Amino acid sequence: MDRRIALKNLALIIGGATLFPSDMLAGGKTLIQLKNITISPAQEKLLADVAETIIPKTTTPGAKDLGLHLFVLTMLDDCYGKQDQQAFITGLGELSQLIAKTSTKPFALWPAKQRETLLLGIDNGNYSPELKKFFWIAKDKTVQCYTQSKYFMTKRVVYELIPGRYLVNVPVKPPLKGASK
Amino acid sequence: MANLNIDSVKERTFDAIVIGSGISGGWAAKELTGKGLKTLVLERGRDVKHIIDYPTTNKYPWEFEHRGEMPLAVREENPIVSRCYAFHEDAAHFFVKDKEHPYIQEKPFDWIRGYQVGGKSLLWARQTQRWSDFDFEGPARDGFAVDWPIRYKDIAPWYSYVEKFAGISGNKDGIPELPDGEFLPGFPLNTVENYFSKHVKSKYQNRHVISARCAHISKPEPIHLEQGRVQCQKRVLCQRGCPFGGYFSSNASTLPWAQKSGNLTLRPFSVVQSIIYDDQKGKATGVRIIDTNTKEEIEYYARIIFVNASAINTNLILLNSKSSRFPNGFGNDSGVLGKYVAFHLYTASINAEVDGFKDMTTEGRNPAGGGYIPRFRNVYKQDTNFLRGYASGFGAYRSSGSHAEGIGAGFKEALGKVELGPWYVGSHMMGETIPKESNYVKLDDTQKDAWGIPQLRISVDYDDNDEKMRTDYVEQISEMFTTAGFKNISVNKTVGKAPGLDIHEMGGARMGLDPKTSVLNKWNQVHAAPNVFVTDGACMTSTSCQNPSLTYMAFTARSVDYAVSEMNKGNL
Repeated sequence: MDRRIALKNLALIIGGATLFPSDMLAGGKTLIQLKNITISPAQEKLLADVAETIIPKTTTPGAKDLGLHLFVLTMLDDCYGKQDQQAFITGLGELSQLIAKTSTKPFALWPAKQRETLLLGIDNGNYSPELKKFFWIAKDKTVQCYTQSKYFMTKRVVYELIPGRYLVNVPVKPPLKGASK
Repeated sequence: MANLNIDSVKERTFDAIVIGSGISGGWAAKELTGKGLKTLVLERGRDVKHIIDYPTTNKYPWEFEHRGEMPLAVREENPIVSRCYAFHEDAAHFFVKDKEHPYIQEKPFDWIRGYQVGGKSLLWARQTQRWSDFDFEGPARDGFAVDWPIRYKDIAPWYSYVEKFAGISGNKDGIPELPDGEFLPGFPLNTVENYFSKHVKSKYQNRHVISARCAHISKPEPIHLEQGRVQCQKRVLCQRGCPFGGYFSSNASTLPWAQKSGNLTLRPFSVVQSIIYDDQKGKATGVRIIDTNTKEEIEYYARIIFVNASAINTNLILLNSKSSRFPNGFGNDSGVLGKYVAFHLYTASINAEVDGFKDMTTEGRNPAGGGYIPRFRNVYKQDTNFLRGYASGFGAYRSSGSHAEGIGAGFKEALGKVELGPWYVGSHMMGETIPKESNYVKLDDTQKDAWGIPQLRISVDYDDNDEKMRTDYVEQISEMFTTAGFKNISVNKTVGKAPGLDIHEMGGARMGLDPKTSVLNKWNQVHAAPNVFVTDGACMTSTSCQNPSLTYMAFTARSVDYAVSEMNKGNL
């Protein structure tokens, strides 16, 4: 297990699109060593399911494939203040209760649409500031990690490390109508 | 034993010593070794070898654990350096952390430092403009500081000399207040920058928007290839160190060149404690260093000494070099050492949105950063209620983004569909400040640093002239944006920002004609100790509003040329 954790962390560090079976995430240990915050394996799994709801696996890799929730936790642990960290953990706990109240099934087994409706409802609904903060941070960091993942930056919107050129007056294709001044 | 000692002294004796390996120290090293002098370069930090010691240079964004962001613990532990625009995960290892070299802020001052071989030349913003006589004649005309002991004609050939070697890209714009140089092809202005340039030209006399001149090799000449440097690849990841040598740094350029001469000895981990003055001989004989690894105190000797420790640290060294001849600091007969410290005013920026031009975009990245608006206030005559003026950076970019909303599969798909948005423009001010006696650095009487050297007290603040200048910048640029048809103009007057983040601190050991009111003469030579030269930011009599590094380079090459010719004549 330790070696697999190490591999997983390595995959995170190199931004890898390494595929790991999602059931690994349900293990008895958390996959990530955190310095400032403590979360349970169940909470980590729930966060992974939330991230997967935000960025689901389609014909292309999803949050679990890309380990996006681990980035959320890394950022929360290292880059956020105590107040945000506490709100996030509290909000995560509240989410867990909300899920249990709504259905007896584990969140991961809910249909995607139902998971999305629940999460989107947090933003607009009458929920605690902690739950809202949890959702904002989870979404923000999940999306950041996705759009800055090796997969996204090599396959979707390509990042050039060495452009080698700076061109100006490049016509936009297809040309837009009536846009020139 | 006696022989051993003699050998030891011999081993520690050079023709020249250079204190510091940053942008000016690197030039001193290149010039001195090139003229055949055995030269010791002392660097207080670690070695950074070109390419080898750029650990992040080829990393992709996803390879940074926090995608560039500095962890909160680091930011909380280092509030000063964390305020620097370039202190991120990809370059944090080139910045001094707050605790590594503490100083006392009598008034808030963010002192940004790079203690390693190459110093801040690895990190600089690479903007390089010549000064003109509108700058060198400024103090005399406007009645502040003291008259510069030189004029443009004295430094012009040396600008040419350093520009050719360093590689400066720009256009010959024919603007008297911003003299043309020896340029490699300039980087182009983009569609909107070009529109604004034409607009300003048609509407205002003596206002110009030009392509920013910068120390990038747009097209290499043989002299650059000979340095092992090639064309800038427009990565614009410069602060990581450039494996192509696409921009000028000591590490990529002057230091390897000096190394090739066989005359260079580079000694990292060497904090200079003081310059040794020999009362009998009536001159400086060497420097005393502390090895930061062993804490051992060691003396090195040389016939001439160049002090290039960076503006404030040069002041620190000079102030701490006390002898019976110089009880108040080295060469400080005038009592002005440490005083008349000034900086550049970076206290406002303006952004706006642009209608139109939606049929055009750009591709790749611009190393020059965009355009530059040379100073247009109080140039030919005094025409405002404040002294001097400001230059401005100016850039336009085409925004892009996705329209992704919500979460889930559709959201994910939309994230990958990036569409072009409006053009935006931005400008930031770079103002000249007036050196004043009340803006000073001095040694603390009791508190010392880790090497037993007194801590510096820094007392530098804005004044009324700065505030008036900022107001004028905001008015003028806003008006220029408005008449250009830019929309949603948003002014950011940075509130509560301390001086220092311009990283253009200057003065303290100013040049001047009169030894009674200045530390250095027209050759950057200490009036009272002719074998010691100061050619970094400490020498500056006034600040102009142009970026200063190119001028430090030119001063250094000129000063070395003079020093060596004086040595050869037997005068030093």
